[in-house]
Amino acid sequence: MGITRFFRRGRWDDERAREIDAYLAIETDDNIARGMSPDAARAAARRKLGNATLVREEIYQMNTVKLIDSAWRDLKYGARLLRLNPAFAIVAILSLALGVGANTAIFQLLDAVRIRTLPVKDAGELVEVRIADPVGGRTGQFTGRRPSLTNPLWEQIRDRQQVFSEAFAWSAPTFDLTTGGEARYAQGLWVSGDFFKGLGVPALIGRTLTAADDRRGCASPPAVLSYAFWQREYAGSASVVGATITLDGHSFDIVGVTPASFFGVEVGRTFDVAVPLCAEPVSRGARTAMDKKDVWFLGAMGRLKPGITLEQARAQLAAISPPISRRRCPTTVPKTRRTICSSRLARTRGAPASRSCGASTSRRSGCCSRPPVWSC
Amino acid sequence: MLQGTLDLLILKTLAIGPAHGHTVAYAIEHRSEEVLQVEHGSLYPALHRLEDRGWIASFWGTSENNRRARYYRLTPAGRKQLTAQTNRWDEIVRAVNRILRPA
Repeated sequence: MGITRFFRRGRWDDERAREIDAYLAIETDDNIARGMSPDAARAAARRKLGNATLVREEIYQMNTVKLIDSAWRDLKYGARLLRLNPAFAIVAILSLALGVGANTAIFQLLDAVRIRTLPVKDAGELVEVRIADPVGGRTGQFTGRRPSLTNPLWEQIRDRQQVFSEAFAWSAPTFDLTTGGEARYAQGLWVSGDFFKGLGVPALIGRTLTAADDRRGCASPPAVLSYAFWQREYAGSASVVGATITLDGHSFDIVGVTPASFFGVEVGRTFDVAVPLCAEPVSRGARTAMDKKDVWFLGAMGRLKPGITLEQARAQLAAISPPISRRRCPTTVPKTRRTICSSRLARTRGAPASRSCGASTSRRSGCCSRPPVWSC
Repeated sequence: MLQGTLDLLILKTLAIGPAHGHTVAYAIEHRSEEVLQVEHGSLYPALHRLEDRGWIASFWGTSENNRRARYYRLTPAGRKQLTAQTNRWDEIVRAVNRILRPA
């Protein structure tokens, strides 16, 4: 049975109907020739044939693909029922539409939060540096969304590591924009000197922050604005470079704006203004954590030097780890629990260079699931 | 009528020459000396099945009393099938007879 016959089964059925009509006509003729009245002849012909509809149905069944045929009939039946109950139909269609819409919205959210890559150069070369066993091993004060390191630990890692072309740390505070009156907040970033260089993010206008801006005790630190903040607060005015912005009551010189595609290092979050890490005491004053061994508030990343693998990076960090940890780890941390690891941000699935999971808090467990190598 | 024998009888009838359904039905009844009574309606699904298998082919023609009718003729494949089925039928009849009338 060919598929073409399935689609032409209606025509086929017509043909069979004509054939059966022909039989009846011939048989009736014969019956009349045998001397019957025309009515009796036709009735006798019908008796002789049997149930014509049954015959046609039997042939029709032979020509049909049951599943398609019944599915089509179900569809038609469903459409008829929906037309009979318009109110029910509208409710059903609306709820379906809402469901589809909600799913689309959720997927878009997921896409933004979990699937999109970091908007930086060669995200596959970036690795995260942190204590490998973050739960239970450390004590002290944990602030910010990514409290991986203390500043003393970070400074030691920065100065001693040899596997990263750039290593950088950041924290995400909230800045008060006002000089008085009702508080108005901005999403801030404290970034170490090589942050923008390491990420490979250029300035859209002006310049980004450099290692020269991040010196301990910096007196008049500069600030870099995000594109969205620049548009929102300054209407995209180019004269913003050279202006000042007040953060937590202190004046910062605006030196540049980042491109629109750069939203920071946390997928699903944005920042408004970035200042050097050395400006942390400016905001926190006496509560500064710059020399505190038990305030964990920095996230850290490094860009692997060309030719250096993740394993080599781990080995080198492990080698420099004992002297750092002896001096810098808080004594309250049990020796057995002090471990740090460098973990690749990029997922190895697909092209490593094009995919990075970023520092998204929602996928933290997936980022650093390998065993720690750096013990302190 | 025995299962499957209708196909064989139709093929045999058409081996003589093209015929339409009405003729086939009467030919079977007549040639069996009215012993085999075909329900004429059941002939058409059988004809359709045989055509499906490529053993017979059909065309529209005019009957003896000037009626449009669908004619069937045996194809070469049908002829081969007829020989095979006839042999098979002979075998079955001999086998059944051996059981019914042991020598």
